Amino acid sequence: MIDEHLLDDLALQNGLLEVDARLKLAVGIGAILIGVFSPSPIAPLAIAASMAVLTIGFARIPARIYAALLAIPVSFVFMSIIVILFMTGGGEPLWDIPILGHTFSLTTDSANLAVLLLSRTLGGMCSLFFIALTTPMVDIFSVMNRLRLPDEFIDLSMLIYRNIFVLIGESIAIHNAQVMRNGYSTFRRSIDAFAMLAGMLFVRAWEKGEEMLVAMDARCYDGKFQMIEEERRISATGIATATGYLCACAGLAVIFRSFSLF
Amino acid sequence: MHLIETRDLTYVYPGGVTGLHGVNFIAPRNARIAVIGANGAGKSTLFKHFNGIMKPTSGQVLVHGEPITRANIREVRKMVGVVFQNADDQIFSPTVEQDVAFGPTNLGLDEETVQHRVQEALRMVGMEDRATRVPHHLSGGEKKRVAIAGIIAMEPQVLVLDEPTAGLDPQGVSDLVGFINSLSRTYGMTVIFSTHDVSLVPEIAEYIYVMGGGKIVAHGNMSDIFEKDELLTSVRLDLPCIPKLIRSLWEHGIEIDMAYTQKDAESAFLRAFRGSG
Ligand SMILES: Nc1ncnc2c1ncn2[C@@H]1O[C@H](COP(=O)(O)OP(=O)(O)OP(=O)(O)O)[C@@H](O)[C@H]1O
Ligand SMILES: [Mg+2]
Repeated sequence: MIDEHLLDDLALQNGLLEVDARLKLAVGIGAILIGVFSPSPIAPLAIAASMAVLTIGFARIPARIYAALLAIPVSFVFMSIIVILFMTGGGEPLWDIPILGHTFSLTTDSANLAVLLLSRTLGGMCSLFFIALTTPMVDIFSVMNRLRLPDEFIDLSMLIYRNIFVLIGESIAIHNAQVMRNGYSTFRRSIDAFAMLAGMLFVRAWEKGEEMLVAMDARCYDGKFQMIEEERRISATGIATATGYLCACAGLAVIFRSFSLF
Repeated sequence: MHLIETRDLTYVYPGGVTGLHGVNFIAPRNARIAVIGANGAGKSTLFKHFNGIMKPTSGQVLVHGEPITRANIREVRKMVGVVFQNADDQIFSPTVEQDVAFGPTNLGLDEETVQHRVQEALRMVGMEDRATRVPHHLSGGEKKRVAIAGIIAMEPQVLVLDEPTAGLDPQGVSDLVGFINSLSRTYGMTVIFSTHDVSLVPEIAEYIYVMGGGKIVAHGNMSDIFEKDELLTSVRLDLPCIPKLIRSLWEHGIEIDMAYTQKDAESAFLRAFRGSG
């Protein structure tokens, strides 16, 4: 199910593809900032929930894939939370755990910090996935172009973007060819085969790079890529909705600024 | 003065393999030339010399009578558009239309002209409905079409196609025959192509170069080349099926004019059968 071009493939067919990329980026980045600066967990949690609804409900990203993606950062954050719970102090003790003659105490401050960390991570990751799953790279390139980022930077990003898929394609092709001829049938063989794959991939990457250069030269490359873009105006309702959403999030952050769970 | 001419062109690959050996090739203005030859005959190596991607080990490549130098290489590439054999390596932009726009943009054309040319080129190769696709979602034949469109959009004087029909579906092949002929007729574009599909040759070309072992073993028009069975079999090629069929009808004593293209064959057959019956 999760294959080589998962994120980009999903983004290229998502339900919000037609929404202007600038709006989606603004909403995503704005929500990340609000979430990070919010002193209480309420606003980030609200952002996480609303972003999940947007991504699954409106952009029609399959919930299973979304959950699988979210599981990655969440598992990391749980590991850090355990450390934070016991390593930071302050406030009232909530729970004392004696381990090997020492007493580890879990205090209200550490619990609050852990909850805040969890909520910020969730809010941030949900917003980031919202951008990644609703805005294909191709659209992001044209936003970068509109923002007048240096051409060299954009051209390089575009070449890297294309070549990521070339390289993935090559490695899959080599891997398939090896599997078809029993390359991975025993442990020893799989080590040999993998070493060969890595070596070949390096050589192929090099060759592909040279061939790309030749192809670019053959078409008179002199340092210019064309950005194709229809001059699109963002609709007023779009701007209003995005602003409203961000204001609501910011409002939550301000209203509940001194709220804490414990 | 010929558009493209090679004089005693020899190319030795860095590994020591001789790719070309004393090749003399001439492409006059508005010609449609087929280069045929077995695998490893040197077709691709020759084509890469036409726009200065490869530099001769000895001998000369003249474009408009001028040798290719650092100073005129941009001009040469503007005049001579080469679509290489492997389409995969020729697409490097994030989307199909951006890729086709690459050449015209680098020629310094304004945005409107670029747009127009991109649409036109994509329409010719039948990819206009897939303009916003990303290249890694394309099939092999679709990539081939995009690669061809990328060169056509530059409107070169000479269109060089290395195995343009490899991987195309039958409709794609007849589309290709159609637009190559129309490019040649309406814009006076010179077309040079290589192919293993000998039946395609008479449909597009009027002149043929036969290569074998890095050399030109024969050249001439349809009747010159397709008259000599031994020549073709000696370089591992075969007659196209129409002249082959007519030959075997001759052996059965049926009187019919020689023809190479489908259209000519049709009238030859009609003449032969209506006339006799
Ligand atoms: N990069 C290379 N290094 C060394 N030798 C090469 C290289 N590329 C091709 N050759 C050799 O040069 C000769 C001509 O190759 P070329 O690719 O021009 O053949 P071709 O006529 O295009 O064949 P095909 O019909 O298979 O495309 C072959 O003998 C080939 O082995
Ligand atoms: Mg070849």
